[in-house]
Amino acid sequence: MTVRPFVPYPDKRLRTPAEPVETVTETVRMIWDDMVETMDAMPGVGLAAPQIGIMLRLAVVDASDKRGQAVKMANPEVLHASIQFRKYEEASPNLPGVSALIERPRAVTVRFLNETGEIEERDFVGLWATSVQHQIDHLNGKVFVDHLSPLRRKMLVAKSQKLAR
Amino acid sequence: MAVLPLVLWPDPRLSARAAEVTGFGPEIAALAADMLETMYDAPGRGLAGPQVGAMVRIFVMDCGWKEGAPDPRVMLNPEILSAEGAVMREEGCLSVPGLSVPVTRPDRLVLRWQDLDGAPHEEAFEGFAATCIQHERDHLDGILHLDRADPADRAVALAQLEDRR
Repeated sequence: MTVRPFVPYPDKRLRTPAEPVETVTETVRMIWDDMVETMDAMPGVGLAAPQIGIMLRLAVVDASDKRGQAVKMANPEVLHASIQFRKYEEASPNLPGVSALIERPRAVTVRFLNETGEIEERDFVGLWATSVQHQIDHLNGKVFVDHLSPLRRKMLVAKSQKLAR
Repeated sequence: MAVLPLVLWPDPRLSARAAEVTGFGPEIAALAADMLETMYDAPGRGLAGPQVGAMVRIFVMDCGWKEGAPDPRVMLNPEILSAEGAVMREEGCLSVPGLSVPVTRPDRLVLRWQDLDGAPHEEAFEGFAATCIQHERDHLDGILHLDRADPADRAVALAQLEDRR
């Protein structure tokens, strides 16, 4: 297992929709394991495969306090989102050093292919819900700063790139 | 005789279809000799025309030389008449240096081809030779081992390639 490097913004892979996973193979499990290890090393509450340059619809989320509770998902999609919203200061290892307050549905029902290769539907609430939506955005070629106005996005990106130098 | 420069992925010539060989004479014989020399120099066990920028249906192979039993072959206008079985092998490619990817293919086949004089031949191949023939034959249609790999294996291989750039 390996901690993989993050693709730096504005790499085009962060702007490219990822490919669906057909079946949960040994390779898919290996990628999930690398993703969990990479997420835990940050530490972060979620990771999508394109963030480490693997263009597949794979995500992991672990918003637990004690950690080690990662949910591994392939082809996740939101079936239902709550009307109530929640604000959270979001950040991304692909755009280090900056964050922004983003508003998303407080709870979501997500359908995905789980570790055993079965289709599962699961409800996520609070930080779990924020993270899973943030990861699904990545699978669609979208980054958290895309939720901001063009001007704020430009400022945040410039700040992050200045910090990275 | 000369060692020819290799065409490297993602050069578009590796994704193009090569044309039938129609003229059998010193020109194609010289190309075949250069291709064998290039293959031994690389070192590899197979090489197809597009990999040296020659967009014609020719490949050379020698599945025995690395084990001390040289068996140089030159195949023009190769056609797979029948194929059966299935075997997975880690395939490498001189056009994608340093990368190997698992590919499942038939493990027995019958090949028809023309020699440098244009004379037709038919022969059955199995094992590594059968894998090599299919890999080289694919090059003539602009297909790479990456295109034949499972989507997850392909995504990992592409990520590794990007890491190295």
